[in-house]
Amino acid sequence: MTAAVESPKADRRRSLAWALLVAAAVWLVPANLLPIMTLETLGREQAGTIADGVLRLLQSGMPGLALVVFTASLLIPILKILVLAVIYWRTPAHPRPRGAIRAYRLVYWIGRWSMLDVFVVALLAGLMRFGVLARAVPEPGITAFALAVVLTMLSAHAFVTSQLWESDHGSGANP
Amino acid sequence: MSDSLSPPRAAPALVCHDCALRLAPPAAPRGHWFCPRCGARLGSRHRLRTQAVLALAATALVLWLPAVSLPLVYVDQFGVGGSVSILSSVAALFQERHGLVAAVVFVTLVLMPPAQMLALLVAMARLRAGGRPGRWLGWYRQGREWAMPEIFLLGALIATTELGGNASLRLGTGLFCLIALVVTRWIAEGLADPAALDRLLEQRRREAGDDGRR
Repeated sequence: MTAAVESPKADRRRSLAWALLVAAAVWLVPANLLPIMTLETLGREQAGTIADGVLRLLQSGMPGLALVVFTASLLIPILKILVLAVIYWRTPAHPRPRGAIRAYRLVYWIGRWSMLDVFVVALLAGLMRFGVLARAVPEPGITAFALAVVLTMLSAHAFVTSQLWESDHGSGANP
Repeated sequence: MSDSLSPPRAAPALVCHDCALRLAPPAAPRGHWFCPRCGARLGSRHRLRTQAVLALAATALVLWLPAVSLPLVYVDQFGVGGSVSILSSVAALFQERHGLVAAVVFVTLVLMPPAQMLALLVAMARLRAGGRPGRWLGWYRQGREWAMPEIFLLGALIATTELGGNASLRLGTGLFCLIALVVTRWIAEGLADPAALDRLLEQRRREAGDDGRR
């Protein structure tokens, strides 16, 4: 009976979640293709994308950190968008709501760690501003990446989890 | 997590914050128990220690200013020295015309951590005074995922290793304040258990004979 009352609002929130998720997916394309930062060392300029950053860490003998950056910057953003899209697609009356909410909770709290690369670029840009021989300059890719991460977080935030159960066996469980 | 849209109508009923299932309140005041439908944790084994949370939130607030304004790392690169703080890196991003990234860094590192701890502080102070935390608790919860000092710490580790090869680094006071801030926040958030808070609020509401409106 409560389902009938809250349905229009939940529908609106779901449309909002979808819109934010699509926007995030669009921004993720330039985020991965454009360079996020240019490193100038000894007159040699080297523009790098997110994937280049992972390779650089791997080549300098830090496989552990390379794995962390790979997971946070490449794997999680794409995975989070895919998982949320599947959950939104099958809502309301999700066939397996318990599994869906478990996946939602996981991507909800892991997604924010994608901001890692934004902070790395911010710190390097601040630290190596006035370097004569070495400089780090942020590039447009990092703006796209930050937008993609923030939009995905807002999308997950807009989604009302209780509608996973709506018009399913939910009304039967309510007293 | 996501808030439920329907306000609870009857005071004695307990509403799951994730799936909006209505349950009868448990017989025991404390205990580790979960929502039967969605598996959300609804009961806490521990009593809410408002005084400890209050002290930790105040500590985090005090640590915030040095953590964002003092230098985190000093770098000496081929004889040219420099340092960076959170505020100076935000300023650098602005000057490099990356205003949006600067705004995101500012909100997640400078604005949200103290705002969220302030909200927790006021909520706990009100609870201790026997009142209702009202909106402050909601603001604290909304702010949780947007305050990211712990992620920045990992970022600082990666940035310094990327530099490591061709520069000599020295850690600054700001970094130690930031680490202390992260640890204090972690403990405060752990103690301010959402399940324990919710149950305490419901108990207060029942005692007040209220109709369950927030």
